Amino acid sequence: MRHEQDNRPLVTRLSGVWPQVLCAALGFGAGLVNGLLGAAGGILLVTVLPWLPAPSFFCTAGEGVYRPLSRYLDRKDIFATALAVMLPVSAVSFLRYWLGGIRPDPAELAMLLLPAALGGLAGAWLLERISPRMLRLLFAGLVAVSGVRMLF
Amino acid sequence: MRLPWFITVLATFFVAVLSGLGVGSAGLFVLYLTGICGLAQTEAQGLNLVFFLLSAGASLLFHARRRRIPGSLVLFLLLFAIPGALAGTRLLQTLDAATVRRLFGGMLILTGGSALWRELRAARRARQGKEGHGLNL
Repeated sequence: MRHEQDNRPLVTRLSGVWPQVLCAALGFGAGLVNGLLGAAGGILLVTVLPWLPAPSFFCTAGEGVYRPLSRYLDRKDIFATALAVMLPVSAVSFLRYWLGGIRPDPAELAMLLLPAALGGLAGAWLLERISPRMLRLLFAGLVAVSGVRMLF
Repeated sequence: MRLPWFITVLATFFVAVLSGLGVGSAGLFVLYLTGICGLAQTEAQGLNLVFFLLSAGASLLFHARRRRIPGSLVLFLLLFAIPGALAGTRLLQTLDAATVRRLFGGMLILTGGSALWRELRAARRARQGKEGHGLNL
């Protein structure tokens, strides 16, 4: 029997439970990073989620057809999805930090309340109106350089 | 209170705008709290979680009205992300401050590197006349 070579991208060849397993692993990984480092679970989701094969409960392509999630959700949708996941996860992480004795000063928390909420709203509003590509590049460079400084 | 209020309010607003823009705030606020305000790493991480709850909560209110947030996918990811967060906070308790700081540095390099890679790739695709993650619905 002759087997023909399958030239489709790997992500579209995964079948059975694999899309669900990968999605579950990504969820667990994002939660783990968020709990351990208090940050970065969202960026992990935003980076990896578009590449994952769409799970069967989400896929509308039909039985046996697997497509990456980026075919169903655009960049802004993926970002909003990551926020929706990381919000309750961050609440759980913070609760655990609190129970573990890491308790921020209430006065300091109060100081963050208004600027964080207003800034978040302003950023979401701006996202619909500008293309923040240059800002993202600057941010990426700044974060990478800061990381190198923290290692040494 | 150890945080200088005026510069903290400005820094919080600025990083929250970046976060809402999808540029990412991962680590930036922690860097401000540890580098400029002198907070301990884990204390800064705790404060960063509250910052994220506030800024992301506000952004999500905005996005929820305009974007498609797939409920089934969010619930599925949450089902595994919450045990992950519990495991992460458990792991944090077993590590010393220097290790956490190094892990955080490694995370920043990965975050910055992956964001750079994504942007450069998107820019290359845009030049080729393609969308970054094209909608196909």
